[in-house]
Amino acid sequence: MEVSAFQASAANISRVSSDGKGEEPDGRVRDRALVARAKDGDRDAFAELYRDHVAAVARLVRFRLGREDDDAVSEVFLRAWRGLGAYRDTGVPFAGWLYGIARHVAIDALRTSARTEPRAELPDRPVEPMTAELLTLHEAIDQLPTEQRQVIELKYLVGLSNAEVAAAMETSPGAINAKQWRALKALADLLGEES
Amino acid sequence: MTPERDAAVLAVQSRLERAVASMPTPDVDAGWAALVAQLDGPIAPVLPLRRPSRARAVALAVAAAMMIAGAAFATVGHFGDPGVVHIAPAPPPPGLRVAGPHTHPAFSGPPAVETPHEATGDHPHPNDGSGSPTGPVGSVDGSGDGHGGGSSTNPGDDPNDRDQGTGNDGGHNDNGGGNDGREGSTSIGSSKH
Repeated sequence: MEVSAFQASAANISRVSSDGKGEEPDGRVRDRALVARAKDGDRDAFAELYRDHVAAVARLVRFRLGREDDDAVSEVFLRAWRGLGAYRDTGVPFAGWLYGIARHVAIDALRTSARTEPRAELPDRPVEPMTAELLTLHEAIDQLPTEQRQVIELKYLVGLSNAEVAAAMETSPGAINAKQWRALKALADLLGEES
Repeated sequence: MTPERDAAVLAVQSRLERAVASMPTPDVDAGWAALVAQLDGPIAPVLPLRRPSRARAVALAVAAAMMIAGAAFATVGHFGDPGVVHIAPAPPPPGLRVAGPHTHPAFSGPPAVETPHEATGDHPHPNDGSGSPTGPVGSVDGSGDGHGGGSSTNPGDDPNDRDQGTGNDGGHNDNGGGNDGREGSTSIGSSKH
C-alpha cells in the first residue's frame, strides 16, 4: 500500500514538475554543440548558451540572494566563459555546470554584502509579496539536507528533468525521484502545509 | 503514506512552481550587452602561491646534514688524529742562514728516526732504487734501498758515500745518479751511456 502510494506520488511529481524542455534530447545535443563551438572562442555560440540559460541562472541567483542581482548573473556567465576550457562533457548537462557556478557566485555575493552592507543599516525597501514568499521558501529549503536541497533547486529553479538532475548528481533518476519526494515531504512539514 | 500527506506534498510542489513562475524574466539583450563588455576585459594574472613542499624541506635537510657532516669529517681528519703531531719547522741557526727567497738548512745528516725497512733490497717497494729516470731499478748488488733519498742509515752504507741527497743506496758514490752499485762499479744503466 505504502509502496504503491509512493510510486503514484513520485510519478505524479515527475509529470507535474517536468517542463518538457530538459527532457528533450535535442536540448542536450544543442548544448553540447554550442559548448564545443564556444570552447573554440565562438562568441555567438556562447551568446546562444546565454539566451538559453540566463533565465534559470537568474532564478537561482534571485532565490539564493533574495533579490535581483544582474551583476551576479553576469558574473556566473563570465566565470563560465573563462572556465569553458576546463569544462569536460562527462554526461553532466551544461545547466548543471552553470548551477554549480551560480551557487558559488551567490555565496560570494552574500559574503560581500555581509561585509559591506550590514543588515542594521539596510535601507527600508518595499517587500513584494512574492519576495516574502520566496524568502519563506528559501528558509525552508535551506533546512533540508544538502542533496535534497540540490534536487529541489535543480528541479524547480534550474528546470532540469529528473534524468538531467540524476546526471548532474551522478545517481539514478529513481534515486532522484525518491529524494525529491522526501524533500517535498520535509518542506510540507517545515511550511506547515496541510492538505 | 496517507492521501493527506500526498496532498500536502503536492501543495508544496505547486507552491514552488508558482513562486518560480512569478519570478521576473531577465532582459536577455541588455544582460548580454553588459556581459560582452566584460568578456573583453583583462583577466587578472594568476599568481601561483608558493605552497610549502615537503620534498623541498627534505632536500634542504639532507643537504644541510651532508654539509655539516662533511665539515665535521674534514675537521677531525685534519686536527682530530692524535697520532699526527703538528710541529712548526725550527728556524735554522743564524750562522747558516743565507740570503735569498728560500733558505734551507745545511745537510745535517740523517734524522735519528729508524725506518722500518731494512736496506736489504728484498722489499718489493715500487720506489726501490735511486729514483733516477736513467738508472736501473734496484741495485746491482741487491743492497740498495732508496727511500726518500738520504734518510737511510742502513748498515750497508758506504762511509765514503758522497751522495747528494738522493739516499744511500749502497757502497757507491754516484751523485744521485742511477748507479746503485759499489763505488767504481758500472751500473747497467750507466753502462749504456
